Amino acid sequence: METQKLELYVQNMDIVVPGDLIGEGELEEYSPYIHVEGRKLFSTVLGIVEIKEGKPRIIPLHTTYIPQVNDLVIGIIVDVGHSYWTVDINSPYEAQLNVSETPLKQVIGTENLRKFLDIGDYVLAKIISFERNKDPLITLKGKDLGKLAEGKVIEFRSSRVVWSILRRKKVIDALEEELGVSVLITSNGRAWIKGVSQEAEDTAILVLKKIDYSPFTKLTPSDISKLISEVKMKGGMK
Amino acid sequence: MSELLFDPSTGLRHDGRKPDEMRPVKMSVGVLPNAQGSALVEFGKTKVVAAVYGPREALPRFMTLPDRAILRVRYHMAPFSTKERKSPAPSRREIELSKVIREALEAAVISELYPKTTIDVFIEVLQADGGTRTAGVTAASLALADAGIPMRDLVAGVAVGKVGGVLVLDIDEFEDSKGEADMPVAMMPGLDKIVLLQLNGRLTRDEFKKGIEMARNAIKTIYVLQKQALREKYEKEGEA
Repeated sequence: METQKLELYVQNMDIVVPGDLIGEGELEEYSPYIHVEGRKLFSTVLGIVEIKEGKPRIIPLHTTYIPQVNDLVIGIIVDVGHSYWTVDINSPYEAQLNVSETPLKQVIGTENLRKFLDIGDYVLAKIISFERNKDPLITLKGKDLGKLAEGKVIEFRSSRVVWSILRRKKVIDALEEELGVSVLITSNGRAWIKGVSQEAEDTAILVLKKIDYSPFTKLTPSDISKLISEVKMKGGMK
Repeated sequence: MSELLFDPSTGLRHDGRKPDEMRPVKMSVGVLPNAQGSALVEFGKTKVVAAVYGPREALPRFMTLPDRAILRVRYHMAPFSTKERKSPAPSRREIELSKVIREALEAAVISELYPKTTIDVFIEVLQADGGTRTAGVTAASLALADAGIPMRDLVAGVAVGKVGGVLVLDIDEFEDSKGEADMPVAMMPGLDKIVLLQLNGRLTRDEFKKGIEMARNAIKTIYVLQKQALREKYEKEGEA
């Protein structure tokens, strides 16, 4: 069956607001950010249009993180129970981390879980299940997962940084190379930065914050070098 | 009294406006950094601020719905918003307006995306000079858009009234209290759907039709201003 052609009224990188008509025709993929009314397609959020192979996609400026299975997330422990921890994953839903999902051997009921993970600790975890009537479950079993004992964690204000960086590996590589830090950005809008020195970590954080507060443009590795030297100049670093 | 409200010889209203003229409208988005989304809307002397929090975990839990987010709206008039002090306790009128505004916004918000959560909308009237519910719904929809909550369309509203036998747009407090009718209308202009319609007083069938048409045209103007305010906020974010 021949699908009818999609006619778009917007261009790549256009800013759209809720109610903006972006095109007419059939949409192949469902998106919560595009409202379909008959054949008309409307934007539902304030964001940027990305057009790839004639298909529109809207990247919202601000979003709420909704967990998805297999997502890598950085969580903060907010409560400790008898056999589980409650973890804030920057979402309306609080995640649960069961003892069985940690490298810990089954603990005796009376043993205090706080010795292993306490309130305020950061963990790098993976979502293992999320259903409508159940809160998300996370696991620490897996490569590189576990407590984040070193480095720093920051939270992004807008979703666009996560989007732009996650999709362009080169950008983050440039930052890592120049400063000698390792940066891990997770789907829930948080980043973990670990470097050789405090200074390198702080510079990386300042660069990321700067991107977070800057207007949306496509980032290139050379932009990163420029930002790094700018931050260094202001901070009086070498 | 009707001569005071509307002068047939000049065709102007008590404040010098033409029958189909709105008061100057001002909007700004992102005025409260603590809230996820916020907006300040002014229709002449009417000043309304709206703040949105959420989607967030709903408390108490039993209020949540398994298939969508619940919308909680509080319309409130500040004690200093009127000429005589208004008791800060929610009045019967405020409870009613919270309900009608909530129903208007529920039509727009795509709440199925966030099951078991709540979206809280607070509308605070800072200065009241007529048309607070329509200014409130306009501000609330801007704040929701600012918070990044997906919506089918923005909601904009305006009131049409009848003074001295003439239909007038965007009535103020004086016209509201002395006039013959007051009809607030809110719409999703892009989809051409009415989401709030109330009527105090009496209108004939033709007057009603004409009134809706007047409101629809005015709402389209407000809609353009709303979109402009959102875009401006986006540009401002770049400078910060």
